[in-house]
Amino acid sequence: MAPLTELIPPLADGLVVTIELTLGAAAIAIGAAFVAGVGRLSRHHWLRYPAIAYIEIFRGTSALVQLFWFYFVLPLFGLNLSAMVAGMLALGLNTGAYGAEVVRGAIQAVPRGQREAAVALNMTRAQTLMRIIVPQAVIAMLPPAGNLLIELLKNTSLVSLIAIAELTFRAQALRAATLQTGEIFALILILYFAMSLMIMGTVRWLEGRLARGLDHGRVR
Amino acid sequence: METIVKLSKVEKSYGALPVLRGIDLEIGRGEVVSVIGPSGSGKSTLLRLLMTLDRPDAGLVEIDGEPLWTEADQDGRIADRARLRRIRGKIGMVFQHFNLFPHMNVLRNVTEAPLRVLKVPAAEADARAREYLEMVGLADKVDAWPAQLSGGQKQRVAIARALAMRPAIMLFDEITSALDPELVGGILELLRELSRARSMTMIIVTHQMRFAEECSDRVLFFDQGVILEEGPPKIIFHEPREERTKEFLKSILEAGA
Amino acid sequence: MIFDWAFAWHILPQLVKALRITIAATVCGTLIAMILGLALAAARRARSRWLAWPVAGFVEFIRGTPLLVQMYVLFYVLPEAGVVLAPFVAGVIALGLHYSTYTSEVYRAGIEGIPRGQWDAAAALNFNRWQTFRHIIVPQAIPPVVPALGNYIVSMFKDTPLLSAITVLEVLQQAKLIGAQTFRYIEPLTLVGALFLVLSLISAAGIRVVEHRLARGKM
Repeated sequence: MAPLTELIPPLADGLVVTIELTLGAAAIAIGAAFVAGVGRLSRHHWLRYPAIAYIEIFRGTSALVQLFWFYFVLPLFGLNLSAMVAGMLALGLNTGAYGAEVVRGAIQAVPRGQREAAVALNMTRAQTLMRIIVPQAVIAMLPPAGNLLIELLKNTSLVSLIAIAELTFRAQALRAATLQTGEIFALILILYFAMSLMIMGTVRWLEGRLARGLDHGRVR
Repeated sequence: METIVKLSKVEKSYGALPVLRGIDLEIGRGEVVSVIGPSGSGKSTLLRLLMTLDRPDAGLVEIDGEPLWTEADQDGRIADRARLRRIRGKIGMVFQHFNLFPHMNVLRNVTEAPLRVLKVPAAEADARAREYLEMVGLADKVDAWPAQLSGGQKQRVAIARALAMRPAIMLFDEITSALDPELVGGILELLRELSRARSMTMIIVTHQMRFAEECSDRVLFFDQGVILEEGPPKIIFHEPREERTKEFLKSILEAGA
Repeated sequence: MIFDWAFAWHILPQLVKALRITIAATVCGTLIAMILGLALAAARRARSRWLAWPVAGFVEFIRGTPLLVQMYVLFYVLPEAGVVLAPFVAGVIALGLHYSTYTSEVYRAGIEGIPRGQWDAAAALNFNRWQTFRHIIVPQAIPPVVPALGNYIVSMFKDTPLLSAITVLEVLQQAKLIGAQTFRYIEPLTLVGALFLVLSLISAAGIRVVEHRLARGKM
């Protein structure tokens, strides 16, 4: 019966990997969400159709299936990625597809009058989008983005199935070695929950900071 | 007076609903024109077409001798966007609901377009913005945020923002309709000064009849998608020809405008 | 990289057969999620704090932790307490439990969308709390939230491959087996992806149809 202190180091290693995965995939997801979300609204066919295809495919198929596909099939295309990168990419693109719909919805929710005021001031469409629409849309995007980030965190547990030594993988390995299933899983459930709460807290804080500029007029 | 705005046989429908049924109109440089009429008669649509916010279904819109849209422009695609923007740069608009940018303070709202669109250097854009904000009486609010302003103040910022682009033609779409009654007078006074300065062509859609009478060179009465009657304010307001014009003016008087 | 269409055609029947397990898991999981979700939603609204708060905490905890780990708990930890479940059963319970926390939020939103006046009218007609719920509130709360519920069912369907981690022979596991045996992964995995895509697109369309029918019924 290994004492709790012996369980901690391998789990801590796993935790670090989980955090790395989450951050890396989140960066990919944010980039993909903006590109696809804006692309989805573009007037150009050659931007809109790929965006729609990306969004539908990654939202319509299972995250675990995507993970396996990236891990097993991409090497056949000549892309020899490490398991870690394949995992980050698959998860990031998966979350990004859902994020694209959030971005799209938030942009469409900006009042029409804002776009009209920009036209009246003879701004180009790019200027209107980047300087007027998107800054206002970002605030509306934050709550759903927070939920998506938590989904992403939970999805990192899936990469344990392609042998990446994140938290769940470590827990499974420890379970096989020590048979202390109860404590181990309880511990990682608490760790995941704590991370979820931290993500929620950070998003709420960010919302507060951005909204202050709009509501109370802090000089920036 | 040379013609700066010309509409020929302009038609516009929204879906199955015809809003403009054939507009022929010429406006001269520096003219101050008021547009009056019942709701839904097409007044705002006229301004929206001029500001390129919508496109006519038929007819020709010319600004300073150049058509806004050409044969080359199919339904959705503009053939020469640069050309359209060049012409559009001559027109500015102030909206009924202000449409200030909430994520920018007052000064930035006014400097944003001169900086980004006209590529005016930062120091000059700043000076220009302060000058126009002073003109509209908001010199002390340059650092305020739109959310902190009253309706009347927001509309003044909107006017300063539009003026800062120095357009040849300014469109005003019922700019006092969304304001509390006690704030309307201030805005009208501002418009009065602008009209007296004679620095630009002004087309003003309004329900404020007294103002329209005092400040316009010409009044257009819109009804059911056509210009039913037009002429100098004295004629339109005191000796209108058409029955509908008389009815409309009577109903407005009874409402106490 | 060559996609061997003949091979793909050859393995399709095996995959479709495994798909039956996937669909069975989705159906069973849905039943659990729909019923348990309603119970959780009601419990959260209970007047007694001793019921409402622990249930709320439980719901947040399940929602904030990975489904895979929850499946492992049911499959590996329960046996230590003497409860041994077959893999399929453990997986379905985990799915149902996890998604019941999502459906409970959907139900809550639906219930809270009912105007206060309905509760008052029911009280005036001397309905007790249970009767009010059963006959007045729930029938009105469900139709508007059907699309959201439908979306979660589709999500659950897309999560069934996790069952492969606790040795259930559903469609992803079958694809991996084919791959391990034949060393050709691209066809089985792409086919599985395509199967999921087609089925979720059909479901999404189906949900929209149900949405329209319900909206029309109201008018």
